[in-house]
Amino acid sequence: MLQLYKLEFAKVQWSVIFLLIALDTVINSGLGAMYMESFKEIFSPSWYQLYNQSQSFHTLFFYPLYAGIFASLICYYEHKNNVWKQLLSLPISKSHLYLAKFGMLMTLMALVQIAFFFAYIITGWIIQPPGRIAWGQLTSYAFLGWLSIFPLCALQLWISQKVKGFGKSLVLNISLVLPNLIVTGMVYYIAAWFPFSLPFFAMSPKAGVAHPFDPISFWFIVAFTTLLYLVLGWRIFIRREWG
Amino acid sequence: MSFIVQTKNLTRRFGDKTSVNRVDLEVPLGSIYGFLGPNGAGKTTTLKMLLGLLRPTAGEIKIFGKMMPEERRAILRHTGSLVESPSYYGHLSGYKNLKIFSDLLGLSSKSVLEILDLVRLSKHADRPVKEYSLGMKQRLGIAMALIHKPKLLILDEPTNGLDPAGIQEIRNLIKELPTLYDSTVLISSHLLSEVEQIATHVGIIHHGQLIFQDQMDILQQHRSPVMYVELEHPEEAYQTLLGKGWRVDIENRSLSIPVTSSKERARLFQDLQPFSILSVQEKKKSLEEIFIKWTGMGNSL
Ligand SMILES: Nc1ncnc2c1ncn2[C@@H]1O[C@H](COP(=O)(O)OP(=O)(O)OP(=O)(O)O)[C@@H](O)[C@H]1O
Ligand SMILES: [Mg+2]
Repeated sequence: MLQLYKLEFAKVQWSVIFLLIALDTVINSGLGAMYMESFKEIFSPSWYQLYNQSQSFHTLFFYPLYAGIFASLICYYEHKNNVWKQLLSLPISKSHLYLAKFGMLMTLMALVQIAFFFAYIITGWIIQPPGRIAWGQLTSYAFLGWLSIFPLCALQLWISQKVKGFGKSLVLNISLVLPNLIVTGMVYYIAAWFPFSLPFFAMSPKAGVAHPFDPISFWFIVAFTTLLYLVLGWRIFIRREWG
Repeated sequence: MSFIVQTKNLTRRFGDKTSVNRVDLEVPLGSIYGFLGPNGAGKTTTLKMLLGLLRPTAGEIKIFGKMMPEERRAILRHTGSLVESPSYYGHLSGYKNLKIFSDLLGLSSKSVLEILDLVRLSKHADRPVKEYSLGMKQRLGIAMALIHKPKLLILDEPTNGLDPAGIQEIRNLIKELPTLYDSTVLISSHLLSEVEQIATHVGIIHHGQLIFQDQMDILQQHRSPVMYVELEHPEEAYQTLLGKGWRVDIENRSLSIPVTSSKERARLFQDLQPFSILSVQEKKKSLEEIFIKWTGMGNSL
């Protein structure tokens, strides 16, 4: 299992991963700084305001999109020259292989999250907005944001083991992420069933402003859908034929 | 007699098409088993079921006396395989590819270097596999199959894409395996000539059914010699021989006549005396021809 997880590290193209992570951090920190500057008449600049302005594209667009992209990336190498066939002719457990892939996906999503918050702090350090960094709040956003991406990752892994083309899944991912602006406007207990919308509720200070927000039932939905997608994807994976 | 691979009634349907039909495969310990059949006969489907990549519709599989798929991992630990085209991570080097597989099998790095040497890829070990030629990829596939010195080696048309020298090399390698690693080899092919020189046992599958399974020697006994005779006046000779009841064929200026005994051969020469013989050649019927006869197929195997 650990060996399989390590294997994921050995074969992934880190240049692609780092490029995508760099895009997310640069664009969102840049936008955050820019928006804070342009709205300074309405919202007085602060560390909090910088976060508020930086996170929206990250939570609504980049973070959920990356879950899909990374999921198809970590299955892409096996689809490409039908390495599935060779891997599954080895004495490894299919369940372990599936879980190792899920672990890898969650690791990559953690990296994205860390990079995003790191970039936020660097940007703030350059701009020097008034106020203090709310470390506790920030850590909880980072961690909860990562937790909230679990259902989407489970769902995307299920899809990726099936969908072979990288382009096809990219189109699918973008079209699923786009309605997020609308979905996140709904009440949380409806929106939470759309896994793309979850990071917004977990990481955005704007969540719960328009509608009341109950963390317990929200996290219950997150846990439930994670298990649901993970188990369904895993069942399909271990029963699959590799013709 | 102990069988390394034994199937009973092995059947696989795709929709309403039966690709493998009640096959009782028996691969003896230490043999090189040539699994023969024309395109679409069901070779790959059978081998994939042995590896647990496809599920049988009916029947059972025993490998090393263990049941597939129930004891999949125990079986696969001692099985190496190359089925259809080789699989590889194209963006990684040949060395890295093998390293990944050796790590998963719990082997040392030394085994990677050894196997690279065995399939003569050491020189190209550090190049990304996507830059490899077809033959080099095939060698890499064979290396992946052999890296853990498996007790059972399953190779599906392993000489695909190799040049004559490469084919000869792989053939020699396969021939050595039973002594080198104590392996039993199950190798599929649509060409009899390809396994003729190495196989000790043969199974022939056609339309999903196993139509022959025995030792290579038994198959060899089905071959009878054919005389090829070149003559000054082949047409006349042809008519005469036909008249005397010979099974004779004519091609260009030469006749071909199957003979079963030396007595028959003598009689043939007697009958041909009047037609001034230019040359005589005796050839054994190739296995291909037997194969074609049995499977009732034309030349398009
Ligand atoms: N996944 C599949 N779905 C439907 N039919 C299949 C599938 N795989 C194989 N078949 C059919 O099963 C039959 C046997 O195919 P198989 O690949 O086992 O033949 P083969 O003996 O390996 O042939 P070749 O020499 O061309 O490799 C063929 O008629 C093929 O069309
Ligand atoms: Mg085949």
